[in-house]
Amino acid sequence: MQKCQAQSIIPHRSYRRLKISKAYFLTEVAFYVLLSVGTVYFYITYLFNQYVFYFKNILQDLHVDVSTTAIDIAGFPVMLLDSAFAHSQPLTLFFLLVGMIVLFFVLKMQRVIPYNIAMWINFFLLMFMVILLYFLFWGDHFPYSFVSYFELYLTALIGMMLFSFIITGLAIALTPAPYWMKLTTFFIMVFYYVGYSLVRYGLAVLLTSQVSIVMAPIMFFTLYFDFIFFVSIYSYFLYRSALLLKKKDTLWKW
Amino acid sequence: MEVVIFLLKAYLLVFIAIVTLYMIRHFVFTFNRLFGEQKLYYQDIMDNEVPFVTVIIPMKNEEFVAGQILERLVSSDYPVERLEIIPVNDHSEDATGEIIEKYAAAYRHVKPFHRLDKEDKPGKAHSLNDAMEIAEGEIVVVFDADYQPPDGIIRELAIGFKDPEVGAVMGRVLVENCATNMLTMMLELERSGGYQVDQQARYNLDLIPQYGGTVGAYRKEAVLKMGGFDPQVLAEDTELTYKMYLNGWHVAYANRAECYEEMPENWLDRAKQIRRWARGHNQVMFRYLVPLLASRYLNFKQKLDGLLLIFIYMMPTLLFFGILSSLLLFLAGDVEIVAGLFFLIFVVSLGAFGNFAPFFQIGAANFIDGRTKALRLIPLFAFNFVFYMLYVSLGFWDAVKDVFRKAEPYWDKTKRYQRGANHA
Repeated sequence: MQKCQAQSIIPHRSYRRLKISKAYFLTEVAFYVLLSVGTVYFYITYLFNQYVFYFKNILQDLHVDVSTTAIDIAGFPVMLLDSAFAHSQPLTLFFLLVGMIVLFFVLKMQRVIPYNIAMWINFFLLMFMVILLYFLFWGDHFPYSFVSYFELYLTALIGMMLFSFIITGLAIALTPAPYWMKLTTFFIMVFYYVGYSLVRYGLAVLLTSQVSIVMAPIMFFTLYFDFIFFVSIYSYFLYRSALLLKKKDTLWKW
Repeated sequence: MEVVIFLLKAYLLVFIAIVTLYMIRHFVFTFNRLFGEQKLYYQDIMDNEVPFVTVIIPMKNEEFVAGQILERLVSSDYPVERLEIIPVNDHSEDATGEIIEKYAAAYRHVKPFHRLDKEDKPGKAHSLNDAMEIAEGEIVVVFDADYQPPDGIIRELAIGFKDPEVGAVMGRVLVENCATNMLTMMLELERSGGYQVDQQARYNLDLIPQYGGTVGAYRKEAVLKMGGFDPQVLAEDTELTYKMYLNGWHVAYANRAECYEEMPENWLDRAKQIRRWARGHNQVMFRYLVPLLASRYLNFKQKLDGLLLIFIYMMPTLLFFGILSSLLLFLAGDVEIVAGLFFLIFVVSLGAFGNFAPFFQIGAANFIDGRTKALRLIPLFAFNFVFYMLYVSLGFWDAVKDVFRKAEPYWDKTKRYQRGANHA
């Protein structure tokens, strides 16, 4: 008698779902959330403060007038660099001019670069134009001191960091990739953003204190762009996982 | 001044709460689609008694695609004696009428319907209403002319009506010209997110799967009882979805009933399309918001889903005001209360509204679909939000104006690129 053999059924994509248990998923999510919170805690209580002292020394070596001030963010004592905004009117006008030229240049370029990207650039340029005009006419009313501006900047950065780590952690947990791949992706994101955000803070201090106060709102509102990096890393991870999974039908459940 | 600041803060906080709700909703959908029990559609029902089906294809100047869709429909495996095909020639000025007549001469079950008199008002809603008057089928299947229905799809859509609670059925739409350029590639990713995850999860969770107006079917008698399609509403599909649920019917989603469509190949065509959708969807919102909340047929979950669905095309307008508020509050020195959260406004602008689902939903949907290289395009969605914000907001504004005027809105047809006339 011929023995029946298990048939190899290729699941139609409409039936596919993942062969991961909810318990594994929830454990993994808890792990990423804890790791995210831990990283952010380490960042604001230790790493950032160390960096501020280190960067202050560099700036002082370069004869930049800068000191440190302790502030409180969500109950944590954080050190911030204290300096003064560069209120140079000619420079503001220069930025205004540059902004206008770039805006019109990009408007003209709309036929060359994709319409959606041109609109995106124009939108932010328009936003920055509003900011430039604000400084031109009401610059004296800018409501922040150097420290209070960076307090706001850091609060937004911490929120962005925590949100990005958790949301990308959740997205990674939803993918049935090998654990080494998931962890590598997560840690690349964490290390990258931690490092990048420190450099970005240093840059913001330099630009606002040495170049122009106009850079303050620009550096604040472009914090959002950082999220694109996260999505890019996630999408590459997803692409690699999809390639792997193509070879393993058993990971699908239907 | 203090009052203005207070209002801006209140607006921003409420807006952030709403977008967070949308984000959670999409995460629940994605989670359900990947891990939850999938509610299977009725395609496995084996029954020789299939209903009499009328396929209606509204066509206006569709010479590029008319031959293609008719060729596919006449070669369908649905029993010919239980099928009639009504291509509606809606004031076409090109060769559409001739192509239809050629098929009518060759196939008895193709029954052309020419709407050429001046008294016959143009538009999809009028075409469907008039065609339903002569349709013999108890079930009406609708395809737009640029669609390419595969074998078996009519049966798959029609079999769902074996369930007496089902008033309408929706199939899955795929992008035929996805490899044409970056836009069509991204639209394919977006579509996948909308159907493979969003629609299926809504169906799984007994929420409100949306009837999409094409690759779909409905009970003729039910729709006639509800007064047919209102020509004032540009989104007759969304309107039908809400009408069905408000009258105690359900919409079934057939994820396996896949059909290819042609998507716009340039951004200006896409802009027109999305503006029309937004206008129609918001017309439905103005009309059905109160009946939805007051409905005795819907439970809390369905009402909440219906509410979030009906508000989708208003979100980009709210987003614009959210960005404006955050900028004003920043310059006024009053953004502290939302400093840790304000970036959410931009982050969700990656697409947490409409078919433009958040990045993880698009990722998960395309992952299930087995796509690989296209997944790397996901970050590019970040560059679309200004485009959508502008054109969806314009559509919203059109809908606001429609509330005050009585004239029927003009249907701005999407441009076709196919050369399907060669089939004829």
